Amino acid sequence: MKAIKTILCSAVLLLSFTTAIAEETLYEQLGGQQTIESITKNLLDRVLTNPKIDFLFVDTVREDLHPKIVNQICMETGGPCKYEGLDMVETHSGMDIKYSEFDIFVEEFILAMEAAEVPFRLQNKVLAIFAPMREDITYE
Amino acid sequence: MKKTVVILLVCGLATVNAWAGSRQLGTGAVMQVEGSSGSGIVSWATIAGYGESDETDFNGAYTYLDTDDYRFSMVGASVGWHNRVELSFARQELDLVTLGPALGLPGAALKQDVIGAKVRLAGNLVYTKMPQIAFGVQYKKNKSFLIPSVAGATDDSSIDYYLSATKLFLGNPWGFNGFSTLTLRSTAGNELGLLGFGGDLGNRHINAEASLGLFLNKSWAIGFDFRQKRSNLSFASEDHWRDVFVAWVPNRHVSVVAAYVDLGTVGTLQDQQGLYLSINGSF
Repeated sequence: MKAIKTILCSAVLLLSFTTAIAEETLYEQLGGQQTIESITKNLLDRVLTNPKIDFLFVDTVREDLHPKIVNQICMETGGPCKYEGLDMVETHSGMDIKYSEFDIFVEEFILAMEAAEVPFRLQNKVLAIFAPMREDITYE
Repeated sequence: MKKTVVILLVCGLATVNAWAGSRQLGTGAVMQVEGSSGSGIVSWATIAGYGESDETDFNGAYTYLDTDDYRFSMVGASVGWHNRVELSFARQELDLVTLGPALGLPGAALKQDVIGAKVRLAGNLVYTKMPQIAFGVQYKKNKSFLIPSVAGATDDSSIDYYLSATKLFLGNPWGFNGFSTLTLRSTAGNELGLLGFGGDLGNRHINAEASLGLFLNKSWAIGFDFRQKRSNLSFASEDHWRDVFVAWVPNRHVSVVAAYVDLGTVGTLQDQQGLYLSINGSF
């Protein structure tokens, strides 16, 4: 009887534990604002110095862009932020961004997450949120 | 041809920091046994290499499979244009290790050339909800038709047509990147065409092919393939093919695939299983 109780209790405990993990937002799993700040810093360090895409940012002030990206990642991953900038179509209109340039940005984003020590499986979940935005961002 | 591919591969490896397409690692898949982009034995909807809409990539591959009774090798080259069109050439050779001496033909081999073309019709492997969909053709020319004709094959050349859908699932399942392919192929080939085309039991069939796999991290993937096959020759009935594979993609220029392949009965010899190795170069 005692054994059954123990097993039942462990099962309930295990269930509540897995539910708790499932309910944690991606934002929380990432490590919150601190990690997102770090990803964004790494990302801008990389894209602003990558000769294949740096020209896309010539009209941009880093100090303005940084908080926008932080807010967007925070909001999209379920964090307590509100992105209030222009939408993805408006922001990138007239920039004629090619698929290949978008790909290079995505690769820099992956490397920025790696440098912020985001685990592979969380990286993929973040990418899954932003991947559908490709058509809004590129002109092709 | 073998020399050319080796030179292409070496050039590719030697210029690891040189320009290559910008698509994400692994999205070019690898060269399958008939030269088109896919996995070991299945043609996928992917376009070879890493080229995007303004880029072109060149690829070469060497593949080897040993089942004790047979030794298969393939050398191939392909070009992926603007992530839209793929052209490929593959030269296959099947050494009849056991059958040759038994038939009084030691050293006998079956040979075939395959010229392939594929066009991406819709969708994007990674970024669209719908899968990437492509239509492909493979013109096959058997270069050793004596044995196939004696076995009852009716033609020494034919064209395969296939429609394929491939999708990569970001973060799925369990946070990994899963991928799957379903392909329908219209073919008259006996054992790919290495035993010619058509026969006493029939001619053209529509067969299903499928791949399912998982990227465990950026550079390592595992998965399995299935390829439906049907028999045209009562003399040499065929079995469905399957394999489990591990792929290593350290960068955009190199990929290596190791697989364990089960071909069933091939040319009257049962239980043909063995190790499959393939090295791909891309630049």
